[in-house]
Amino acid sequence: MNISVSAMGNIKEFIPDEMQLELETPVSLSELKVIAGIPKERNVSFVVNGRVQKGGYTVSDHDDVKFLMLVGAG
Amino acid sequence: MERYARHQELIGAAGQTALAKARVLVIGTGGLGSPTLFALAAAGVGTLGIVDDDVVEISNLNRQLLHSDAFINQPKTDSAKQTIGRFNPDIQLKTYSQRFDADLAEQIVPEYDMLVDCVDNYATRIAANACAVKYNKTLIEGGIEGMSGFVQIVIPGKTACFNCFGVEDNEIYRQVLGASTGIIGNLQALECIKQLTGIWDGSYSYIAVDFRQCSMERMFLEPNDDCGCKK
Repeated sequence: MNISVSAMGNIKEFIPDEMQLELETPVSLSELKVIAGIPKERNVSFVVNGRVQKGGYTVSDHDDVKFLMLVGAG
Repeated sequence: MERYARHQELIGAAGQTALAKARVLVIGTGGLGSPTLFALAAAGVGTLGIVDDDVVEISNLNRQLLHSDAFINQPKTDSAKQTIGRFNPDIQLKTYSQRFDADLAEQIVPEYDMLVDCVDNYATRIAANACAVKYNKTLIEGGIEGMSGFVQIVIPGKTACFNCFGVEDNEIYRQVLGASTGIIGNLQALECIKQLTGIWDGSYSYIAVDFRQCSMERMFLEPNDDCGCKK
């Protein structure tokens, strides 16, 4: 299964450029975040093929996953 | 109308009239709410609702330009009303010195055209988003932490809402530079003005700003199919 992953904002610290991941089994977005090298404690949100998804979503072959930062102060 | 002469060519007379007729509710008068309120008042938004239940503290003054030493321990809404009232006396200001929750939302949100969320916690963001969806109001969401910030344009049923992310009331890292809150707050006001004057082109609904790298990116976010916002 080939997944394309990229990041926006400060998550680019972990994924500077778009990259391809080859997965042997389907994983959730929360699991993919760790596989992609983003620390577990880092708050992120997920966009798959342009649509917002929650962490429990299971990725499919050829999905385009983008990690967005999640920040809440004001 | 001389006050607005420097932006009239950009938005036209119809745009200025739209701003004058607009009623915008700004939730929070802190680091994001201060520049947002200044910019909306400067543009001539006719009625601004201002919600905040806090009092001014000395630690606010590195970024919250509405407030000053003279207002320490005073309600932020009083400070905001006086400051914005002096800045543009031609607009109407309505203040609500209480926490934004479902009860207050039910009373006041229906009378506004648009909401701008400038708060500092996830719980109130979730509440503001819920009432924007419930009352079908456009919401301009914004947030900041450290050297990062974002702005999200929520148009219920059209763009992703804040709840689409499945955000919980997470711990927040509260370090912020005042200059960066100015950028996100002004960006929220800009997107609000673009919505009110019809000059948003619809190609994006989320803007990520990385202050350390000095970069800004944008994308359109489709709503989560499982979220109640997609009617």
